[in-house]
Amino acid sequence: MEAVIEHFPVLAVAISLLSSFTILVTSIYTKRAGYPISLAVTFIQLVMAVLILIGVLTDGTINYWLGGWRPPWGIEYRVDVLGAYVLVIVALFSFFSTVYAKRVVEEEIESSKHPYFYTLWMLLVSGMVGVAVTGDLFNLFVFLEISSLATYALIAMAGRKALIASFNYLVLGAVGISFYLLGTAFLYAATGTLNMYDARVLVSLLYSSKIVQLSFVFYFIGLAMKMALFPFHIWQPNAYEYSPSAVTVIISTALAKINAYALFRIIYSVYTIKFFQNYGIILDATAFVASVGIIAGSLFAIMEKSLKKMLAYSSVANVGYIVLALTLGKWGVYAAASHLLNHSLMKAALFMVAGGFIYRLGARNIDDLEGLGRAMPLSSAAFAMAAVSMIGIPPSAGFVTKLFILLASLDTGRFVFIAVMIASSLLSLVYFWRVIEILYMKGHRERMDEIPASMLYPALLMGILSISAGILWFFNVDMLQQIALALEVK
Amino acid sequence: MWVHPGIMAIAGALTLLLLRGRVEKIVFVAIPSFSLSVLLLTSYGYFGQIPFEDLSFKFLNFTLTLARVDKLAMPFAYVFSIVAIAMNIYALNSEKYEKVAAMIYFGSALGVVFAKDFFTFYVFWEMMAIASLFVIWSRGTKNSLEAGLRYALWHLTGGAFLIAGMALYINQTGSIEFRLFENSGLSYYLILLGVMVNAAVPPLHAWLPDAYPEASVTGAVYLTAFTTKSAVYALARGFPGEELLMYLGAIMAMYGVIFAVLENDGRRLLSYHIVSQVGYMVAGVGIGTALAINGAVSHAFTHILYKALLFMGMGAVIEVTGRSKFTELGGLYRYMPVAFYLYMVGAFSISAFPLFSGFVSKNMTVYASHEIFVVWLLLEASSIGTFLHTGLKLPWNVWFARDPIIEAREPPKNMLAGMAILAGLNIFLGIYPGYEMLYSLLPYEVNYEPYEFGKVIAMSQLLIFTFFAFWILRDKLRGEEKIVLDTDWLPRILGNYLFYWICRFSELSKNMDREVLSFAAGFKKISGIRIKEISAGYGLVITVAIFAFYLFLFLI
Repeated sequence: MEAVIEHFPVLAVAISLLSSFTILVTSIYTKRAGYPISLAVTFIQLVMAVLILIGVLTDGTINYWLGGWRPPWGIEYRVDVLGAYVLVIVALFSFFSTVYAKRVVEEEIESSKHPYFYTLWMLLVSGMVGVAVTGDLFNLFVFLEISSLATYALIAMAGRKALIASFNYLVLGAVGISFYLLGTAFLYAATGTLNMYDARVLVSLLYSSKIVQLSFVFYFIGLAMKMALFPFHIWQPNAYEYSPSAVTVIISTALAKINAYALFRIIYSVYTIKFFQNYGIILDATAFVASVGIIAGSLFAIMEKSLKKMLAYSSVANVGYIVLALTLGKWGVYAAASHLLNHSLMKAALFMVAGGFIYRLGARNIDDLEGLGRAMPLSSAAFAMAAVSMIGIPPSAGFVTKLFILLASLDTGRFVFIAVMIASSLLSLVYFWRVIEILYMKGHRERMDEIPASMLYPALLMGILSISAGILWFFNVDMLQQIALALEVK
Repeated sequence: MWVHPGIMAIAGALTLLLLRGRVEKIVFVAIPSFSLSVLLLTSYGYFGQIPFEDLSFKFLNFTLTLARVDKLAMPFAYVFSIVAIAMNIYALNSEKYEKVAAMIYFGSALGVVFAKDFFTFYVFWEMMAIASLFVIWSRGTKNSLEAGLRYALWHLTGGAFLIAGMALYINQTGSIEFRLFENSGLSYYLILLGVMVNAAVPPLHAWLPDAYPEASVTGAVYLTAFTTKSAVYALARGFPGEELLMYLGAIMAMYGVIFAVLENDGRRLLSYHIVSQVGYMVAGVGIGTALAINGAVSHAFTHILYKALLFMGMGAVIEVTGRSKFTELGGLYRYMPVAFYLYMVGAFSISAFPLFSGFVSKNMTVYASHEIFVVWLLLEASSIGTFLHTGLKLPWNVWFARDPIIEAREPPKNMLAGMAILAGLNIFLGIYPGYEMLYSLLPYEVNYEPYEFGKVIAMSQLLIFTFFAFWILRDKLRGEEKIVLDTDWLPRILGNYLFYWICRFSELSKNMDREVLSFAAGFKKISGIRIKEISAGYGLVITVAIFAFYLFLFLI
């Protein structure tokens, strides 16, 4: 079994890459093959990802040399605990987004375009899976670019307004990715290697080199643009608002997390925490930018009238959490790693239900949702559970992140972030409570059909998980400790 | 391995969801009975000598301990379990979701009482707030939804103070044990503030008389027992001898009584008396001597029993008539005498009549306050007001006062049974050997004899004179109806705005709600100014600026 698992990382990438072309080819004969193929492939990937995670937790890191070329010359796939964990997140949310996609895609996309949709969809998935498993800086760029290009096209599929949103995303995303590429180029110029773990060793000798410093700034800004950290979030609300519902779900969960993971990886595996100990001011500045992002994202969310845009701004705030946590030492790593999953769970449930409301009622604005709490009790319950978790009421998943950040700021003695946490909790109470109030306490509607089962059950599952994952984390701290250990954070 | 009754109760509550009909009712009553039997076994040393600790496990770098069983926790756990049995019998026919919420509420209150460390304490503390919120909401009226929302905001704010205080405290001392706190400045006061919100210490009390009367007949009964008393437990555990609490408690005792004067709604009047009675306990904790702590704990014990009984009695009236205002009731004695007598047992207990439970507990606290004259005076004076309102005014206006204006009947048998259990306990605890048993549960050795000649005479005099005063003024006391029906009455007649402000203050929670809403509306206006969406080009400018900023940081 062990021997088989070693091949899983590359297999996981390969099957989805091949499946996307298969879908394209089958479209000559039938337009309907896209969905079942995608579903099957994402499911297999999920199983593989879980096996990889179990394997990594028991036997340690998996190294795979493509074509048998030794690193640093060849490309190395290297899956440690963090990578395996992120791979599971990606596979999990790709699978459930695919389950969810069936009905909304039938509704929102012309049937002649379905094969193209699923082709791009699987390209997006393979890009994300690739980022999670690769141990090579340039390979990471390639996979990021694959997933980004697929996303631009997927967003644009929704029609007129989506075209503009997609174009904005394209421009900013392209700038972001070229920053990343420039960062890689400078790093390569300084060290002569593209392998992350090789670079880590070489960079450790060159902390004071201006080229290395410049490359870090390029990396940081580039990935911050990709992950929509405030103030680089400009493309994001419109992209989320106008994209097809299924695409919103996958890009707000898996793709957003994979970009955050890339930053995580670069900061901790290439530059390492020692680099920042020499330049503490960089950490302070990053924490400051993230804190401003948390508050500003929440404030923008309060201003929004459209449900999906409100959720998008809430994502901006939550990306702020992750970046803030990255600057806060060991507990911060716990917080960031757990929030990758927690936030995906909550946002998946929220966007799935939001998409469902659009599907059933065409309701995009929060005010259009009056009385739906009684009319669609299950869908609303899924939304409410995730919202409660977003607010951070114990013992929900959102609370766990906040607890870890709290402990992190106590641990590092930076109490100002406690105030940031409390303020953002109150602000998120304001904007989520507004929705819950409208759902449950205003207006009156007759009982109507729930959103279709293939959309409802994933949403409910995510909603329940976003409450109960809080308790599950208590039993899973070992994994976080292993992650921190693998990143040499103490 | 100790069986945690709180966690078992929560698990039982969740199984209730799957059951229906007779089985559901049996399980519903079995949940608190089970926890009572666990407690009895614990007392008899089946799980080991009290005090002991159990159910510890490692979490991160800390050791969490779910169970700290000692002499301070046990009386609270006992009374919670006993009263929950009676309440469940009373609420046998209530809505299923209310039952589930109530049992989670009960279980998390037990969890709070037994928690040793901050994390366990906090998690159960918040669960308690949320479960009680659903108890309030389960009535489903517009008023209960709105009051529940205000209730939630109060408690989440309190919870935020609490966790902020705890976090600071852990950082300062490195200990996560919930124990007697040394005064460590800010963290100490933050924790105190968080607990005081739950103990309804004025001016943080507004949620209590606001939300409790809006719950359903059965739901309100649950609310009376757990939230405030677990806060008294937390105060007794963490802050005995805090002088601030002594004065606040005394003021609180008087305060509740004064505001009860203005009330026309039966359960709201009783709610103000919860504030007043909890005042005795807070004052007892604040005095902090062994006698005073004993007084506070025993008073919490008896208070839970008789206050639940009073709410049950008033609830029974609401159940059969659908009315709760004194001005709409009266003369019901003809239809529901049994409910009246059971109610009066509670009323005599709260008024501390000799031979009733309040006498053996309340006087202990008052006695302990002898040395501080102001506190003693306030506590003693509140006794008069308590008897006047719950013992005389409320039953007089509900059961007598005039010919009946509405038909009624006795409440259902299970309600009467629940009341009868509590009435029996209240009498039992007031006489020998009941009070000896109560005293044997208390955290400290008791050297207090309740039935000394002088104490009985003094209390009886106080009560008899109060009764005569009431009898002479009884018709005047009914004139109050106008106040609540027309809020402008007082300022216009008396020309005194002080009273107007008291009225405003008694509605503090609603007022704050209104203020906050208008504030939020103002906030919305600001947010109504739409920020023009920035185009991609400006996005690039921002990017480059931040890029330059970061490069600059490396130069310094």
